[in-house]
Amino acid sequence: MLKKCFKYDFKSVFKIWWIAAVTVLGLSVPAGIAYESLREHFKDPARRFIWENSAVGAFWFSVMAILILTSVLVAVRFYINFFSDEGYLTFTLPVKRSTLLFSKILSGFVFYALTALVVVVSLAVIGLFVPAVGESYSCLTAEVLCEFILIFKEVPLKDILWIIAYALELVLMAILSPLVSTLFLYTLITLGATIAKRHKVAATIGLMVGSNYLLSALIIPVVLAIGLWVNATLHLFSDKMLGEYDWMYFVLFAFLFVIAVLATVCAFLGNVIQGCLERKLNLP
Amino acid sequence: MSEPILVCDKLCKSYKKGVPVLNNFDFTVEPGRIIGLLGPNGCGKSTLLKLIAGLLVPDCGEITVCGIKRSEETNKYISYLPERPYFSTRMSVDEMISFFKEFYADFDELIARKMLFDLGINPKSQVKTLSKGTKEKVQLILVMSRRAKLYMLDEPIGGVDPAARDYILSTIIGNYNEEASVIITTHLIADIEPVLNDFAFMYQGKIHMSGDADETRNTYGKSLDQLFREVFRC
Amino acid sequence: MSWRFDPGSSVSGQIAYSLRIKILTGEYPSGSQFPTVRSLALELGVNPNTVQKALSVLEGEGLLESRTTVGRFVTEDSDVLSSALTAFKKSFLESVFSKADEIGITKNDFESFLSNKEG
Repeated sequence: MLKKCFKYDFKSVFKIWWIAAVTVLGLSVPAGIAYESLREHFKDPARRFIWENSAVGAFWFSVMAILILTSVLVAVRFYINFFSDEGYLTFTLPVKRSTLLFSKILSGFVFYALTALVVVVSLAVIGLFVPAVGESYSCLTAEVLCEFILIFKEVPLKDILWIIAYALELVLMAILSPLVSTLFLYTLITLGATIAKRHKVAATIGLMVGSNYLLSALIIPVVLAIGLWVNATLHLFSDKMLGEYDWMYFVLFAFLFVIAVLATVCAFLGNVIQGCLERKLNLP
Repeated sequence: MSEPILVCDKLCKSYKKGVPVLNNFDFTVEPGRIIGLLGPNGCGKSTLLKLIAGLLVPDCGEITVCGIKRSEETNKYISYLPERPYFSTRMSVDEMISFFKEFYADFDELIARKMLFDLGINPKSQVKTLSKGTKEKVQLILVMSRRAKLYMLDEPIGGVDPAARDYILSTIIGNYNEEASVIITTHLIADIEPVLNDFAFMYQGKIHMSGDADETRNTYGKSLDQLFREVFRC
Repeated sequence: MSWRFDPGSSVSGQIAYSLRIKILTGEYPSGSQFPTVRSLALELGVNPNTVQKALSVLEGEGLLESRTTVGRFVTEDSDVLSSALTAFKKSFLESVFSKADEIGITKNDFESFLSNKEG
C-alpha cells in the first residue's frame, strides 16, 4: 500500500516540479556561458552587462523559484489530499493513517533531496563552462582518488573506522535535517487544519508565518545559549582531555547527540500529526 | 442466518461540549437491505455515516462491520458516497478509475466504464471540467462499481435534476444483491420511499421510528413522507 | 420511469393490483413467461423485495406459477383465470357503485347513461 500511496503523492508533485527542474538545468547553460563571457568575448561592456545579468539573473531566479516551489508544492499536496474535500477519498481508503502519513513524509523528503540534486548539478554545469573550473574538475577527481588510495594504504584500521563512523553520522544528519523541515511544515499545516474550525487555509498560513517570526526571534538567543554551553563544555573537556583520541570521541558523541535530538523531534512531530489525523480530523 | 453487516452499539458523538449529535445510538443493518435514514438536515445522519466510514472517531460506543471492529480494514467492505465531491485535483475520469482499481480489490472496471458510456461521459475528460451534475454521477458510478458489502450514500439525490435522480435510483435498484446492503440518507423522503426495504426516522440524533417501509404504509395508511410530516410536525 | 404510487397503501399491494389487471386482460398472455423481479423493479423504480412480495401474492392467487431455474410463468389454467376475472370484475363494480352511491348517482342515472351509449 505504501508503494501505491507514494506513487500518487510523487506523481502529483512531479507533474509540476519537473518543469522547474528542467528550467533550472536549462538556464544553467546560458548562465555558464555568461560567466565564461566575463573573461573573453564581450569587450563591449554594455552588451556584457545585459547578457550577463539576464542570463545569470534568470538562472539564480530559477534556483530561488525551485526552492520555494518545492516547499509550496509539497505543502499544498499535503493540505489538499488530507484536509480538503479530497480527504473524504483519502481517509476512507483501506490504508492505515500511518502509511498515508509516511508516504507524504517520504515524498516531501524525496523532493527536497531532488531539488538539492538539481541545484548542485546545475552549479556543476556552470562550472564546466568556466575553463579553469572545468579542468579543475578532472584534477580534483584525480586528486581525490589519489588521496583515497593513500588513506586506505597508510591509515591504520581503527582510523578508517573513525572515518566511516563520521561519514555515517554526517549522512544521518543530512537525511534527518530535511526530514525535520518536512515534518515541521506538515505539523504546522495539520495543526492549522485540524484546530481551526473555519478558514482553515488562513489559519494554516497564519501559523506558518507566525512560527517563522517566532523562530527568527528565538534563533539568536537560542544559538547564543547553545554557543555558550558548547564553549563551556569544550573548555571543561579540554581540561580533562587525556589523549588525542578523546577529541575524536567528543566529536563522535556530539554528532550522535545531534542525531538523537533530530530523530526525537522527528518522532515527536510524526506522532503529533498522526494523533491529529486520527482524533481531530474535521473535514469540510 | 448470516451476521449483520453493520452494528452500531451505544454510539455517542458531540462536536461542541455538551451538544451531542448522537447519544447512545444503536443501529443494525442486516444483509440484503436498502435502508433509508430519513430526517432533516443536522439530525446526525451524515455524522453517523462519517463515523462508520472512519472520518470521525466516536466519543464512546463501538462500530462493527461484517463482524470486524471498525478500522481501516473495514474500509475494504464499505463504499461511501459523501455529500461533497471528493475528486483528486487535475485527474481525469480514466485516472480516477485506475486509482480505484489500485486501492480497491473489489472495483469492477467494466461496470464503471459501461455506466460512463451509457451516460455519455468522456472518460478522458478532466473531472474539474465536468458540470456539477455530471461530477455527481461519476462519483456515484465509482462508488457503485465496487462489489462492497455496505454502500453508504449521503444525500445522493439532493441537488440533482429529476432525470439524474431517476438514473441514480435505477443504479441503486439494479445493483441490489442479497449479500450487501445500502444505507441512503436523505431529506427527500417521497422520492426515495419506493426504493427502500426499511426506513428509520432520525431526529436530533435519535431514531424515533423504524420498520419495513412497505408494511408501514399499510399499517398507517400513509406514505412515509406523510408519516414523517406528522411525526415531526413543527 | 416510475409511476407515482398512491400514498395510502403499500407499494407491493399497488403493484400486485396493476399486474393482476394486466394478467387478467391478457396483456401478459396465459402461459407466457413473466418478467423477472429485477427487470420489474428497474422498470417500476421500486425495491426488488417489494416486487417479490407482489409476485408472491399473485402466486398465492394461482395467477403466476414459479418454475425453478426457469422463472415465472402466467398460469395456463383457464378456470383460475376466468374465476379470478369474475371476482375482479365483481369487486371493481362494487367499488364503482359504492363510490357512485356516495355522490348520489341512482340506478336511473345508470340506465339512461347506458341507453344513450348504445343509441
